[in-house]
Amino acid sequence: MTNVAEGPALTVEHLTFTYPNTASPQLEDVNLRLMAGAAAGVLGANGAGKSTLLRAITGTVAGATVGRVEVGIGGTTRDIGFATQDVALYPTLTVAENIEQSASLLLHRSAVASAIEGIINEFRLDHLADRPCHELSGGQRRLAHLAVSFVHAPAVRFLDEPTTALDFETRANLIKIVRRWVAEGIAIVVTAHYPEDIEDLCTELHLLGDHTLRRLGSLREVQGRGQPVIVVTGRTTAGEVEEITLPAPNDAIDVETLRDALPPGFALHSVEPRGTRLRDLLGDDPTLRSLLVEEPA
Amino acid sequence: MNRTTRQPADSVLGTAQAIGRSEARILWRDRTAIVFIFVLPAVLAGILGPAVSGLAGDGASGQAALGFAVMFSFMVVTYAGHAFFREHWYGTNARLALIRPSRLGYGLGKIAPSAALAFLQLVIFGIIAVVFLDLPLAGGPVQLLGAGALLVGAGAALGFLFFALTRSTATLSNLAYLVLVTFGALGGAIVVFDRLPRWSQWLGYFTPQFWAMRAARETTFGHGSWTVVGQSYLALLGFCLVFGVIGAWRFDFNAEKDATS
Repeated sequence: MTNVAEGPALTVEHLTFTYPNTASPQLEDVNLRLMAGAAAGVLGANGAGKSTLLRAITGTVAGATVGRVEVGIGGTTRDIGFATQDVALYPTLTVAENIEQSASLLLHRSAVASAIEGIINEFRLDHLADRPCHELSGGQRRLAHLAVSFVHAPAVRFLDEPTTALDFETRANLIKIVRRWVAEGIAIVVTAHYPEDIEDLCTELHLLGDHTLRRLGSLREVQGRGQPVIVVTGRTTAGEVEEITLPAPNDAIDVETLRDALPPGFALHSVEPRGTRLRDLLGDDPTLRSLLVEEPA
Repeated sequence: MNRTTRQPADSVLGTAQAIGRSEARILWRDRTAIVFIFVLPAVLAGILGPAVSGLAGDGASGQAALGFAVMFSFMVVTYAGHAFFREHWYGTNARLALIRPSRLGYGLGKIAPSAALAFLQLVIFGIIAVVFLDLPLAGGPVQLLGAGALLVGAGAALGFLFFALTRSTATLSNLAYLVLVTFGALGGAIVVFDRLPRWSQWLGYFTPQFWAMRAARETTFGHGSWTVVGQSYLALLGFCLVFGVIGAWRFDFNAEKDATS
């Protein structure tokens, strides 16, 4: 790994990116400064350009890029790892063979075998190492994809929606791995659709919208800004879509209590916790089960 | 853009080995390509060979077999092109765009396994033609091997060029089949060159197949003259260089391609 302890692990300054044959830029004046051991979560709506942002920073997209990207101090390609949103594996090659190709391109020959063994152990892929990738489940393929992307132990790692297709247990395993990376001083940039992913994986929050990136602050800062609430969306008897904000309970809220708090005849569509965390769904109600909300800090 | 993160991977040879190893495994596990490149020329040479080649007498079947082998060795255009497109089918192109391996090493690693397969096909058909079908050998086998290697090299370079110029696998495949048949016909791989119309003979000079067949005829029915064979080598080398250099000029790791296989 590059020595990044003396400065930012990743510096992006005034990055503007324009796709070929388009007039207006997809990204405009993006700035990002990430220290070692920081994990930046990037939230944004569909089409906001989250994947484009990572691909523009890593230089893996066709188009006109203006600005400055620097990794550590005199960093090289080997100091970046990028796990794309779509799983990228050769289906007829085994997991180990896929990893081997990346390792052989990025590492000295003498380091290849140990790097393969290390990443296979880290992602608990040892029982799958000799299986062709087309035989793996979606979640297993996602983990193999991450292993191939980070076999060279880069100091800066980009993960584009990494929890896609992961089951609960595999997701928990990935969260542990990412947290360990952060504790080891690795800088991480994660994009996600869901705030839960950012909460679990990141230390700071950025919002991508209107073609640019805004730093909202550390996760603690963001979470501490408002009272935890539950936002209920539904349709009134008049047929209008309405959003109702309720204070989050300290522990559990059952269906009856929730319905009592809503206008009569309100047809409920969704429930979203903000500033708190939806920990579980309990109960027997077939349409909406009781909500167990984590106690606010 | 000031980007200090870009640095090519270690070496041409190391890159070629890493890429070539994966390509060889993929090719080996997709047996259809291997079967196709051997079975098709064998069937056509057996059924149509002497009838359409315009040859008669000793060695006619051997020359026809060699001609069909030369024509179908250009399957390497498809296989080499697909090897490059494969990165887009599987989404692995983004990783390569990040790594930025040596272009030469990457290109060599991509084409080497399919080129080796096409060369092996030529060698096997050459042995069968000489040993079992009485094809005479006026020159040395080295002359044939050299012409075969350069022909396959030109085909692989053309596959690379087609990849660099096209956006979809379907377009590349159509172009590859077009040159396989038309270059084979114009170059005298199906019907003997001397029996082709004058206008098509004139076009034939611009095909690698003509120069490969010219070297083959000199080595078999001719006198094994190194002058004649050497001229063919130079022409084939020219095709390799022209296709390869234009392909390298147009190649871009970041190029957007249709990911449909």
